[in-house]
Amino acid sequence: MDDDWKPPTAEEMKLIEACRARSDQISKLMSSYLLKGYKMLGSQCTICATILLQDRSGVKHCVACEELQCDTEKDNPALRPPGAPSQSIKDEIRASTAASQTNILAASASSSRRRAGTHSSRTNNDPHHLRAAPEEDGATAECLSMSSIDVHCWPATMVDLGGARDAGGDHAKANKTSPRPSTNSDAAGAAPFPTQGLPVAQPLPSTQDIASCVSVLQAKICWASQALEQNKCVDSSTELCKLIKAAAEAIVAVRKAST
Amino acid sequence: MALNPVQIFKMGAEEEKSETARMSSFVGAIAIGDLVKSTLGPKGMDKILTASGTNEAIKVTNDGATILKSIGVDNPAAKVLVDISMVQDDEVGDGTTSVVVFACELLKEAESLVSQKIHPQTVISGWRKAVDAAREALTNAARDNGNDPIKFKEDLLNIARTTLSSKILTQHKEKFSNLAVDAVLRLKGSGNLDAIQLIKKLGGNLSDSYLEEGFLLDKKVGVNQPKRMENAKILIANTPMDTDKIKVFGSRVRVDAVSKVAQLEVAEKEKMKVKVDKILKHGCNVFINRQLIYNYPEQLFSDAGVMAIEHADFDGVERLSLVTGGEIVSTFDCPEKVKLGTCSLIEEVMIGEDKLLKFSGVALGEACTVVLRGATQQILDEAERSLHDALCVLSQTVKETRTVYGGGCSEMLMADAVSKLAAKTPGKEAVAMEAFAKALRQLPTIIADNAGYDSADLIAQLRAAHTSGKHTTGLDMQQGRVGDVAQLGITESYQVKRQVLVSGHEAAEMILRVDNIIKAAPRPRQPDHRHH
Repeated sequence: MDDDWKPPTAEEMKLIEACRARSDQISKLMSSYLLKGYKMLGSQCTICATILLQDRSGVKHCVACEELQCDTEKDNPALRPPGAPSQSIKDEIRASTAASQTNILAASASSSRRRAGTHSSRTNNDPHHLRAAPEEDGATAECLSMSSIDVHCWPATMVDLGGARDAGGDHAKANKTSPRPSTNSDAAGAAPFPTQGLPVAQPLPSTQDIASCVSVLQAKICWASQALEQNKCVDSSTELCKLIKAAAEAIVAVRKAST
Repeated sequence: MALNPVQIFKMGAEEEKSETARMSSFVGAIAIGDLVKSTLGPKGMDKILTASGTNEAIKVTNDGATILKSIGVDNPAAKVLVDISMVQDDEVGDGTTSVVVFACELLKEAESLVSQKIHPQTVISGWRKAVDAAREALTNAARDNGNDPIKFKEDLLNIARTTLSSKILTQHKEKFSNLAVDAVLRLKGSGNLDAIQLIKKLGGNLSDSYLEEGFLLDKKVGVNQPKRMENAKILIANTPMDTDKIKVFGSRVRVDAVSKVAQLEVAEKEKMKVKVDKILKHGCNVFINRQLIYNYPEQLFSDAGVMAIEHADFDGVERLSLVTGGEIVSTFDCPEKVKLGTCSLIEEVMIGEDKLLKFSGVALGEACTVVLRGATQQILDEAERSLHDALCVLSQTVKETRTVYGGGCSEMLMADAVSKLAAKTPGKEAVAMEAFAKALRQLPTIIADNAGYDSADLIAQLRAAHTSGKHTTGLDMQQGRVGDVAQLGITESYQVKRQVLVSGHEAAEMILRVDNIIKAAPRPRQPDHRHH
């Protein structure tokens, strides 16, 4: 039996030391309370398994839940939050968003082409035309979902957000092909896209297009709120909220454009 | 059907299993250790304990057992630690804080060992070997000066100085250590501390305290009675000398005429006179009663020239009978069978603002009294506790004359022996033994921390010195460096150190063996207010 015991590795030692420091802090707090006249009970706190203290009026008090400084929270086995993802996972996400970005551009270009082709007399000799996604709604949905991963992992700078929003917004614009009051960000957002002239001014959209666009956006909002509910990371939650806001604003803009 | 959970325990009973049970008992016990840690050593601090409720009596104390007695504890592991401290107090008197701190350090080490996935039984068996090694090292390092009275007295003085050095009496260390050693040496090896009486009188300051030969009784003589008596023969009694107290509740006396009431009173007076006559037939000239003596018998006594003292209370009466050699009597029918106490002089003295009776030249030559003066009641109480501790240790040393060096020296010595044994032992037990040595080394670390010095540096120096064989190096807390404790005169009784080692280890082992806590369903009863 002695053979399979190995002395703990450096990481395990660090963990053990951290737990020990935490329980040292707890016992210091407890001893100061004992001196103030609190009574140490035989029962434990239901949340963190620390021994409870009871004061003279009978109120029970758990020192760890109420007073321990938050920087040792990570050593509390009950409450450990998931840590930041490691570098390799971050690289993966970045690679997938880069791929999805080109897909968005392709799909948006193609669908804008298609839309433009349907409603305007502009001809498209766009080589991307052939890469149109099989089904428009699916394409838009897929592209929008790509763009939402985009939103999830990229740093939240306004340009990117503007870009992402305008990817969704431009999508809506492409669908409805209506003149949106073009803001600077639109132009800036549109500029990096290697599409050949995303139409700025377009004829009025059809109601069917608007409805499908709105339904896609609503689906996106539903998806994002579900993801938000399960997410425990602060940054990604913020990004999801921004996505929801962008999609909602897009719906508003679409509806306004249709009237 | 067969897989349904079966309720084994009664309603309200709880069970905690394995990991949570062990961890919860550790944290509770460690909190107790942290409580008293700061009182350890010559630069340790005192604690103020305020009683709750109506009596706002305040205690200022450095003694571990006193502090722990006042803490409210329901947790079973913490109760174990409080108990060993009290046992240490009863057995030896000193080292009550050290034993709790040592047990707590052992448990801290055990906690980290268990989290490294070492089984508690391995830890326990490693510790047992370590304790044996430490005990052997301590026994070998003990010196015995019992045969040389001068050196022995020097030892006793050093021990008294070391014991008092962490208490409030440390400012007048010389005076009080001389006092304590004189008092104990007078006992001539009997070890009966009842013969030493401690009287507290408010007023003056600590340096006004003194040792009085003979016996002081904190009572006054009756009126009109001789205030000074030579060659006294003392009769010590425990009898009611009052007549009109109704002894049987609800008893009634029915008379049919007022004259009969007057007859009753006269009869009672007669009874009292007969009793006093019987007492006087004993031929005593001092009569001491535990209860009160009413005015009529008092008058009869003063007529007979007998000194009568009342309300001597249980403690005083027992001490008196021990010191003067007399028996305590309740009936006075056989004067020839009663042994009277003797004393060469009884007189009234004045201390502070109070008058006391001094019995000099008593039959028990060992008896003496220490009169403590102090500025406040708290100082007096703490001085009494400290002096009592010192007297206990000294009387133990008189019986078991071996001494060891203090100042962290014997702890480092034991840790050194355990480390050497751990280096030779194969397997996981070596890790447990190394942890034991580490816990032993924590004691001088805490002493250095309490004094505010750089403990890491000092302990490293100490460890190096002990490993290279200089086994008389210890901490010098006056200068803040390591020094030779033999020259500094920091000595402790071997009994105290051994008891600290053994009790601390036993308590820690007992808590470590816990793997399941079962709490009985509470039966309705009064809550435990013993400590508050």
